Amino acid sequence: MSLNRRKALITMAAPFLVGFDPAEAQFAPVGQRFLGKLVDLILPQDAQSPAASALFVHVELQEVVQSHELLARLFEYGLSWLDQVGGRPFLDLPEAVQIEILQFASQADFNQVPGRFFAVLRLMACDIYFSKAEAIEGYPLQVAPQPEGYPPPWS
Amino acid sequence: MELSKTPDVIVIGSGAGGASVAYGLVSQGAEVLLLEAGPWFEPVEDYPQDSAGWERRSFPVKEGSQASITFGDLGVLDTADRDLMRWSDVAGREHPQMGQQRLPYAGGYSHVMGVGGSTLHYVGEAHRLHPEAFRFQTLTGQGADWPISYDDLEPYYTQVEHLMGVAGTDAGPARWQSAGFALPPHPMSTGAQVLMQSGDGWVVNPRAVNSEAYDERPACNYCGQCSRGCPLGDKASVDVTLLRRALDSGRLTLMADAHVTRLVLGAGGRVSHLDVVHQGAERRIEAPQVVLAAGAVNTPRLLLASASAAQPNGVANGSGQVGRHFMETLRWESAGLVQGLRKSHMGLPSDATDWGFAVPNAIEGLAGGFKLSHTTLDTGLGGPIGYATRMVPGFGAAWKAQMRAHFGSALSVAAIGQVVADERSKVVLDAAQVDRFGVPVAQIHSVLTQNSLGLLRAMQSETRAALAAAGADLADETSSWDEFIATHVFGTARMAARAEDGVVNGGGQSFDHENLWISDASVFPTSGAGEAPSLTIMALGLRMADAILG
Ligand SMILES: Cc1cc2nc3c(=O)[nH]c(=O)nc-3n(C[C@H](O)[C@H](O)[C@H](O)COP(=O)(O)OP(=O)(O)OC[C@H]3O[C@@H](n4cnc5c(N)ncnc54)[C@H](O)[C@@H]3O)c2cc1C
Ligand code: SF4
Repeated sequence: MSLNRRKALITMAAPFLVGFDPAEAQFAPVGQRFLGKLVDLILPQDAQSPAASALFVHVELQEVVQSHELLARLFEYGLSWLDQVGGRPFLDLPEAVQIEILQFASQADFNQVPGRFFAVLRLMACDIYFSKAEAIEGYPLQVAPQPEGYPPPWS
Repeated sequence: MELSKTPDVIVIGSGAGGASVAYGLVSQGAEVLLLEAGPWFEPVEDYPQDSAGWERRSFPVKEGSQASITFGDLGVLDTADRDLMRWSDVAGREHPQMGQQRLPYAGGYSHVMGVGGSTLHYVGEAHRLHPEAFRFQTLTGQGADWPISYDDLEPYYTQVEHLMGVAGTDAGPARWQSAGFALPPHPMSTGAQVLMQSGDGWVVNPRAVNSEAYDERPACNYCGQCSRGCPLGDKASVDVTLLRRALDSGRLTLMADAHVTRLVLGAGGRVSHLDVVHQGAERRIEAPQVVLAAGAVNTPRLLLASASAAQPNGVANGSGQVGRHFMETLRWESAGLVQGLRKSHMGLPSDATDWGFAVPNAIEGLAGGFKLSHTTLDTGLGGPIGYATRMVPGFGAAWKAQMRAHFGSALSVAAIGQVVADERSKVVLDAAQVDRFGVPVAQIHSVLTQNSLGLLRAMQSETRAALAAAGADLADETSSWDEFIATHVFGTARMAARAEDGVVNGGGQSFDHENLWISDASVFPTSGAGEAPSLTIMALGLRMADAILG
């Protein structure tokens, strides 16, 4: 992830954590299994492209999250919320309920944990997923814009 | 590196302003030493657009390629102006900073320090200012007039257009040309075609990009990634054009990783020496003629940081104008999806423009105007990450299908507008922070005035109208209301007719020190009505070379 994109993410995570002192924080590791399920709910397998976890999106995501305290804390809060909101651990809920919870988070106030967490999670998952060649199978795109470019005609 | 020749002129900074004056000087036989703080960039190695993951890679950061800059007062996001707030179908309409300070764009001060300066990641729009832009104060009662006219600059505009290989049809309304462009226009992308069919004002945007092989550089292959750095060299950044030619002459010595830390004054008010740190080693270089071309933020910084007991306000600052009149980039962008539009991710960024409002008094009751551009590719809508994060909300299997269905149908129009310099907007030295050489860093203060807010509303209305005419469903809007942007910055060492009003005269020569010249965006007395500045900076640079050589 480029420096500027990383800075943008941190800026997104930061305002929600006003008053939070990273020096005092205890970071629980953000679990890969949990992240794998979440990224697959956002980016499931379809006829042309694999699910996010098959491309190890959750592994890369975890690396980025754990490399920055503010992001790690946002994810910690977000995952705790997910585990509480359905009355039992998120991973034990039926998939339809999991999707319903994510739907709720996707509409939630950006200035509260569920809304901010989901927005950042989705953004990062998409950023990582669509950077993989397998993810853009079936798009009118080359794996990369060069060396061929897109010579005309276009219409 | 020891100098084998004594230079006639030392140029500080190798961006648009420094490269053009250096080229103009060596092409007339002068020996030039060019000191550039940043590193070299190698197009093929440094701009890898040929592997997966390209969409996540913005312009590369190399050691020493980003200026240390801090931000002071950027204004407050006033709830009363929330109609100007950014939003998108994906991110919604909440703003975490409402009521708080406006923040800089995540990339901070986005100009590149490197051989070629910010032209390395510019898009290459190549615009002449409107002739009336030079008489801004006379026409609007605000801002300043330029001490030179369009006619003074016209021959140099033509020269630069041919050196850089500008492609297009014509330079735009009222901008008369003594010769046509070097190259025929580029083919229009599908997004540009939709705009041209939907409104009368849309025309070919002049671009410093090869539409056919020219100047030993290939034709563009329309990858659409200009601001990530052009790996082919068909985009006319100054490293592959003016500097390449100047180096070929054998009369240019170019030192990268050479940071000028101080201008030292000698007898008679001349700049006698430059203090330089080159590849970590401090040295003092005797100054013949000196051209300062460090850009609109670092030029005032170096002048102010060169203060001494004899010049307590800094060098070239007898008027007290150094650092004042800072003008940021006023920008509004609207984007949407157009049913039936395909392949809008292919082509040349900013290929079409609408000049309709690009005059000093375009909008009743406001000073200044703006220019519209087709920006689908410039603003990150060339790949699926852009669509997922801005245009197509949702998640899950149905959303993935939507992504595929919509991909290639995004259309974006941006307006860049005039900024009228304000007392609160300035570049000063940060009292609390120095760089690794112990020089205080520049601090930017920049506040949106009522005039800027009025222009932003007019820009919002016109970009929305353009998209509506093209049949787009609006999905995403961003602007400089909630994010300070510094792509085009100006005004901090302005040229003026009288010494009390500016830092340099109409030729770019300091009023206070006869062997000091300034060649960059800092000399602009006004910003223009959204025209991209590099062509004007370079035309001024070539004109300066003639003036220096008499
Ligand atoms: C993303 C982006 C897109 C843009 N698109 C366009 C476009 O399409 N068309 C257009 O006309 N303009 C465009 N611009 C703006 C354009 O790039 C700048 O206006 C232009 O490059 C400014 O030229 P300059 O000579 O003033 O400064 P710069 O090009 O910034 O050059 C200044 C140079 O001075 C060097 N320097 C600074 N301090 C020192 C020091 N102390 N010692 C030695 N060297 C020093 C810097 O390293 C730098 O290389 C764009 C800018 C950005 C950021
Ligand atoms: S679109 Fe053309 S000019 Fe721009 S980066 Fe690609 S090849 Fe270079």
